[in-house]
Amino acid sequence: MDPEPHKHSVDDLPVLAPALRIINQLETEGIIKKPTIGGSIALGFHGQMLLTDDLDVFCYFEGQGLIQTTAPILERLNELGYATTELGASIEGVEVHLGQGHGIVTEALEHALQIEVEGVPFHVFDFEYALAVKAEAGRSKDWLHIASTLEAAEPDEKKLFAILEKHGLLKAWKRKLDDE
Amino acid sequence: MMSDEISPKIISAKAKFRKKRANESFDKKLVDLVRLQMVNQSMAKASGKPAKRPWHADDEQRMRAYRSAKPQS
Repeated sequence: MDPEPHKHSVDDLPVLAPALRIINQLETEGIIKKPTIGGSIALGFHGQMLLTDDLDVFCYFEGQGLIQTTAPILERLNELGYATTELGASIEGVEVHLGQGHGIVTEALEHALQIEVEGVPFHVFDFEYALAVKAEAGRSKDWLHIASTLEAAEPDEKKLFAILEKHGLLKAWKRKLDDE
Repeated sequence: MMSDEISPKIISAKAKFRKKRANESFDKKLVDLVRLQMVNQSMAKASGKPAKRPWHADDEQRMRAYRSAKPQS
């Protein structure tokens, strides 16, 4: 029992801000560029929040286009005292997975939205790209999250279908979602 | 018979609720996510399954605050 228990309101306890500040520090140090929230948290930004254990962050590797390896990032996070895994690191209480990219992710990064999360400036995939990148991941969990998100928010269908078509995902999208 | 009359109302109410949740602030949704992770861990523990820890699980003050706060509507 605390000698003087301090009464915290949940509103005084930022969930992501401390982790996002550290990630922004990596950008300031020139290790990464334009860190951007993707994955289920990005879907939660645009629709209803769904259960997930990790924060997916995609970024460019400064000066070399899209990151090919997360090794320099993980090395720096280790130096800063954060426990790392192959996928990412536990940063200020949040499991962060660093997403390595390719075509569709590059485009998603280009179109990312500037936002503020608990007072910290950051980026998030726009809705249609967040859905398309999830569709490309293609696990059962991804489709489940896509279906749940579409029950709560409506993407720009024309824009979404154009992205899916361009990346060869439209057939899978229709097969997985239109039959339900 | 009765369920035929009620069911569309429930479906419509659920859809309305989901849209309302979607329109909440991202900061509030993040708090809801940690709560969801806590519930998930409790459910997993109760059924004897391996449980993933919620974010900030080592921050006892924070966990206490989440547990004692009233559920957000």
